[in-house]
Amino acid sequence: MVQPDPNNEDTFKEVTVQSTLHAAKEPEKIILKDIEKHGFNSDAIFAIKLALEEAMTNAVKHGNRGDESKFVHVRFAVSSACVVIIVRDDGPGFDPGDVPDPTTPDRLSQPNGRGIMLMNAYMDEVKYRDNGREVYMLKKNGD
Amino acid sequence: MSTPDKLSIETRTTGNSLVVALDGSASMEYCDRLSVELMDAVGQKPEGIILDVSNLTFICSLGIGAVVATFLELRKDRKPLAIVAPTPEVRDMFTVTKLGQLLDVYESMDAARARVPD
Repeated sequence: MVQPDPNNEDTFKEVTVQSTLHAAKEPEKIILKDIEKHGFNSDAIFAIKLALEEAMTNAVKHGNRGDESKFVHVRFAVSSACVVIIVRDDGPGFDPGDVPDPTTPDRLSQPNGRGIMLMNAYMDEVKYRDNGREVYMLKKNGD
Repeated sequence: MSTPDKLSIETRTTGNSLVVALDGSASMEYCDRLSVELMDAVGQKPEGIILDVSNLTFICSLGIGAVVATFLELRKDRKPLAIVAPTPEVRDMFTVTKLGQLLDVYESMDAARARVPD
Protein backbone atom coordinates (compact mmCIF):
# COMPACT_ATOMS: atom_id res chain seq x y z
CA MET A 1 0.00 0.00 0.00
CA VAL A 2 1.29 3.46 -0.92
CA GLN A 3 1.91 5.68 2.10
CA PRO A 4 0.12 9.04 1.99
CA ASP A 5 2.61 11.71 0.93
CA PRO A 6 1.88 15.44 1.43
CA ASN A 7 3.80 16.12 -1.78
CA ASN A 8 1.70 13.74 -3.87
CA GLU A 9 -2.05 14.27 -3.82
CA ASP A 10 -2.60 10.97 -5.62
CA THR A 11 -1.63 9.19 -2.38
CA PHE A 12 -3.93 11.11 -0.03
CA LYS A 13 -6.44 9.44 2.28
CA GLU A 14 -10.04 10.52 1.68
CA VAL A 15 -13.05 10.88 3.96
CA THR A 16 -16.44 11.99 2.64
CA VAL A 17 -19.18 13.02 5.07
CA GLN A 18 -22.72 14.31 4.93
CA SER A 19 -22.89 18.09 4.95
CA THR A 20 -23.78 18.66 8.62
CA LEU A 21 -21.71 20.13 11.44
CA HIS A 22 -21.99 16.90 13.42
CA ALA A 23 -20.81 14.70 10.54
CA ALA A 24 -18.07 17.23 9.81
CA LYS A 25 -16.37 16.23 13.08
CA GLU A 26 -15.48 12.79 11.75
CA PRO A 27 -12.56 13.83 9.49
CA GLU A 28 -11.27 16.04 12.31
CA LYS A 29 -11.07 13.09 14.71
CA ILE A 30 -9.20 10.99 12.16
CA ILE A 31 -6.76 13.73 11.16
CA LEU A 32 -6.00 14.84 14.73
CA LYS A 33 -5.26 11.27 15.72
CA ASP A 34 -2.90 10.97 12.76
CA ILE A 35 -1.00 14.19 13.48
CA GLU A 36 -0.60 13.25 17.14
CA LYS A 37 0.98 9.98 16.02
CA HIS A 38 3.42 12.02 13.94
CA GLY A 39 4.51 14.08 16.94
CA PHE A 40 3.03 17.48 16.10
CA ASN A 41 3.26 19.88 19.05
CA SER A 42 0.21 21.22 20.88
CA ASP A 43 0.32 24.63 19.18
CA ALA A 44 0.30 23.01 15.73
CA ILE A 45 -2.50 20.65 16.76
CA PHE A 46 -4.59 23.60 17.98
CA ALA A 47 -3.95 25.45 14.70
CA ILE A 48 -4.88 22.45 12.56
CA LYS A 49 -8.04 21.75 14.56
CA LEU A 50 -9.07 25.40 14.25
CA ALA A 51 -8.38 25.66 10.52
CA LEU A 52 -10.12 22.36 9.82
CA GLU A 53 -13.21 23.41 11.81
CA GLU A 54 -13.32 26.68 9.88
CA ALA A 55 -12.93 24.93 6.53
CA MET A 56 -15.63 22.38 7.39
CA THR A 57 -17.98 25.07 8.70
CA ASN A 58 -17.49 27.07 5.51
CA ALA A 59 -18.13 23.98 3.40
CA VAL A 60 -21.33 23.07 5.26
CA LYS A 61 -22.82 26.52 5.82
CA HIS A 62 -21.56 28.56 2.87
CA GLY A 63 -20.35 26.13 0.20
CA ASN A 64 -23.20 23.64 0.47
CA ARG A 65 -25.51 26.32 1.91
CA GLY A 66 -26.90 24.06 4.62
CA ASP A 67 -28.12 21.45 2.14
CA GLU A 68 -27.80 18.17 4.07
CA SER A 69 -28.21 16.13 0.88
CA LYS A 70 -24.77 17.36 -0.19
CA PHE A 71 -21.36 16.14 0.95
CA VAL A 72 -18.01 17.43 2.12
CA HIS A 73 -14.94 15.65 0.81
CA VAL A 74 -11.71 15.75 2.82
CA ARG A 75 -8.37 14.50 1.53
CA PHE A 76 -5.26 14.60 3.67
CA ALA A 77 -1.74 13.34 4.15
CA VAL A 78 0.46 13.59 7.20
CA SER A 79 4.21 13.19 7.51
CA SER A 80 6.57 14.06 10.34
CA ALA A 81 7.30 17.30 8.47
CA CYS A 82 3.83 18.60 7.65
CA VAL A 83 0.16 17.92 7.11
CA VAL A 84 -1.82 18.83 4.00
CA ILE A 85 -5.62 18.94 4.19
CA ILE A 86 -7.90 19.59 1.23
CA VAL A 87 -11.59 20.29 1.89
CA ARG A 88 -14.04 20.30 -1.00
CA ASP A 89 -17.75 21.03 -1.03
CA ASP A 90 -20.49 20.40 -3.60
CA GLY A 91 -21.54 24.03 -3.85
CA PRO A 92 -21.21 26.61 -6.62
CA GLY A 93 -17.94 28.08 -5.33
CA PHE A 94 -17.01 31.60 -4.30
CA ASP A 95 -14.32 34.21 -4.76
CA PRO A 96 -12.29 34.50 -1.55
CA GLY A 97 -11.30 37.99 -2.71
CA ASP A 98 -14.91 39.04 -2.17
CA VAL A 99 -14.78 38.21 1.55
CA PRO A 100 -14.14 41.41 3.50
CA ASP A 101 -11.43 41.75 6.14
CA PRO A 102 -13.24 41.17 9.48
CA THR A 103 -10.61 43.11 11.45
CA THR A 104 -11.30 46.54 9.96
CA PRO A 105 -12.98 48.96 12.42
CA ASP A 106 -16.24 48.97 10.48
CA ARG A 107 -16.48 45.16 10.48
CA LEU A 108 -14.99 44.33 13.88
CA SER A 109 -18.40 44.11 15.54
CA GLN A 110 -19.87 41.78 12.89
CA PRO A 111 -20.66 38.40 14.48
CA ASN A 112 -19.64 36.46 11.34
CA GLY A 113 -16.90 36.32 8.73
CA ARG A 114 -13.77 35.36 10.68
CA GLY A 115 -13.27 31.81 9.42
CA ILE A 116 -11.10 32.53 6.40
CA MET A 117 -8.84 34.96 8.23
CA LEU A 118 -8.34 32.43 11.06
CA MET A 119 -7.37 29.74 8.56
CA ASN A 120 -4.89 32.14 6.96
CA ALA A 121 -3.48 33.16 10.33
CA TYR A 122 -3.00 29.68 11.75
CA MET A 123 -1.88 27.65 8.72
CA ASP A 124 1.35 28.02 6.75
CA GLU A 125 -0.37 27.86 3.36
CA VAL A 126 -4.00 28.30 2.35
CA LYS A 127 -5.02 28.20 -1.30
CA TYR A 128 -8.45 28.19 -2.92
CA ARG A 129 -8.92 26.10 -6.02
CA ASP A 130 -11.65 25.26 -8.52
CA ASN A 131 -13.47 28.56 -8.12
CA GLY A 132 -13.40 28.32 -4.32
CA ARG A 133 -15.02 24.88 -4.08
CA GLU A 134 -11.80 23.47 -2.66
CA VAL A 135 -9.42 24.80 -0.03
CA TYR A 136 -5.85 23.47 0.30
CA MET A 137 -4.17 23.95 3.67
CA LEU A 138 -0.65 23.08 4.78
CA LYS A 139 0.80 23.19 8.29
CA LYS A 140 4.43 22.44 9.01
CA ASN A 141 5.33 20.46 12.11
CA GLY A 142 7.09 22.59 14.71
CA ASP A 143 5.55 25.92 13.72
CA MET B 1 -6.48 16.96 21.97
CA SER B 2 -8.05 14.05 20.09
CA THR B 3 -10.33 13.23 23.01
CA PRO B 4 -13.97 13.92 22.18
CA ASP B 5 -14.95 17.59 22.37
CA LYS B 6 -17.39 18.56 25.09
CA LEU B 7 -18.72 21.92 26.17
CA SER B 8 -20.29 22.62 29.52
CA ILE B 9 -22.21 25.90 29.92
CA GLU B 10 -23.22 26.95 33.43
CA THR B 11 -25.12 30.14 34.18
CA ARG B 12 -25.46 31.49 37.69
CA THR B 13 -26.80 34.70 39.17
CA THR B 14 -24.63 37.05 41.14
CA GLY B 15 -26.69 39.96 42.43
CA ASN B 16 -28.35 41.51 39.38
CA SER B 17 -25.75 40.14 36.98
CA LEU B 18 -25.02 36.75 35.48
CA VAL B 19 -21.89 34.66 35.29
CA VAL B 20 -21.75 32.27 32.34
CA ALA B 21 -18.94 29.74 32.71
CA LEU B 22 -17.72 27.79 29.68
CA ASP B 23 -15.77 24.59 30.27
CA GLY B 24 -14.30 22.52 27.44
CA SER B 25 -14.26 23.07 23.71
CA ALA B 26 -16.60 25.45 21.87
CA SER B 27 -16.24 23.57 18.62
CA MET B 28 -18.60 23.88 15.69
CA GLU B 29 -21.24 21.35 16.79
CA TYR B 30 -21.80 23.15 20.12
CA CYS B 31 -22.02 26.72 18.89
CA ASP B 32 -25.75 26.74 18.19
CA ARG B 33 -26.34 25.72 21.82
CA LEU B 34 -23.80 28.28 23.00
CA SER B 35 -25.57 30.99 21.04
CA VAL B 36 -28.98 30.00 22.43
CA GLU B 37 -27.74 29.91 26.02
CA LEU B 38 -25.99 33.26 25.75
CA MET B 39 -29.10 34.86 24.24
CA ASP B 40 -31.19 33.30 27.00
CA ALA B 41 -28.85 34.96 29.49
CA VAL B 42 -29.25 38.33 27.73
CA GLY B 43 -33.02 37.81 27.75
CA GLN B 44 -32.97 37.68 31.56
CA LYS B 45 -32.09 41.40 31.44
CA PRO B 46 -29.10 41.28 33.80
CA GLU B 47 -27.10 44.37 34.67
CA GLY B 48 -24.19 42.72 32.89
CA ILE B 49 -22.71 39.34 32.01
CA ILE B 50 -19.38 37.92 33.08
CA LEU B 51 -18.22 35.24 30.64
CA ASP B 52 -15.78 32.99 32.46
CA VAL B 53 -13.60 31.33 29.80
CA SER B 54 -10.81 30.22 32.13
CA ASN B 55 -11.58 26.56 31.35
CA LEU B 56 -12.34 27.06 27.66
CA THR B 57 -9.70 25.19 25.67
CA PHE B 58 -10.95 25.96 22.16
CA ILE B 59 -13.37 28.24 20.35
CA CYS B 60 -14.13 28.34 16.62
CA SER B 61 -15.35 31.37 14.66
CA LEU B 62 -18.98 30.36 15.23
CA GLY B 63 -18.35 30.51 18.97
CA ILE B 64 -16.60 33.86 18.63
CA GLY B 65 -19.62 35.05 16.66
CA ALA B 66 -21.93 33.99 19.50
CA VAL B 67 -19.82 36.00 21.98
CA VAL B 68 -19.80 39.07 19.70
CA ALA B 69 -23.57 38.81 19.20
CA THR B 70 -23.99 38.72 22.99
CA PHE B 71 -21.82 41.80 23.34
CA LEU B 72 -23.92 43.63 20.73
CA GLU B 73 -27.22 42.71 22.40
CA LEU B 74 -26.00 43.91 25.80
CA ARG B 75 -24.60 47.09 24.30
CA LYS B 76 -28.05 48.07 23.04
CA ASP B 77 -29.03 48.49 26.72
CA ARG B 78 -25.59 49.87 27.73
CA LYS B 79 -24.86 46.73 29.73
CA PRO B 80 -21.33 45.33 29.94
CA LEU B 81 -19.94 41.96 28.86
CA ALA B 82 -16.74 41.01 30.66
CA ILE B 83 -14.58 38.16 29.39
CA VAL B 84 -12.58 36.53 32.17
CA ALA B 85 -9.25 34.74 32.10
CA PRO B 86 -8.91 33.38 28.57
CA THR B 87 -6.40 30.59 28.11
CA PRO B 88 -3.32 31.55 26.05
CA GLU B 89 -4.79 29.87 22.95
CA VAL B 90 -8.11 31.72 23.20
CA ARG B 91 -6.34 34.98 24.05
CA ASP B 92 -4.20 34.55 20.93
CA MET B 93 -7.36 34.17 18.83
CA PHE B 94 -8.72 37.42 20.29
CA THR B 95 -5.44 39.07 19.30
CA VAL B 96 -5.49 37.66 15.76
CA THR B 97 -9.11 38.71 15.23
CA LYS B 98 -8.48 42.07 16.99
CA LEU B 99 -11.45 41.37 19.25
CA GLY B 100 -9.40 42.65 22.16
CA GLN B 101 -10.21 46.09 20.73
CA LEU B 102 -13.93 45.39 20.98
CA LEU B 103 -14.40 43.20 24.02
CA ASP B 104 -13.36 43.87 27.63
CA VAL B 105 -11.03 41.08 28.71
CA TYR B 106 -10.01 40.69 32.37
CA GLU B 107 -7.38 38.56 34.03
CA SER B 108 -9.48 37.63 37.04
CA MET B 109 -13.05 37.31 38.24
CA ASP B 110 -12.39 40.05 40.82
CA ALA B 111 -11.31 42.46 38.08
CA ALA B 112 -14.40 41.64 36.05
CA ARG B 113 -16.70 42.05 39.04
CA ALA B 114 -15.32 45.55 39.53
CA ARG B 115 -16.58 46.36 36.00
CA VAL B 116 -19.91 44.53 36.04
CA PRO B 117 -22.36 45.77 38.68
CA ASP B 118 -23.87 43.24 41.10
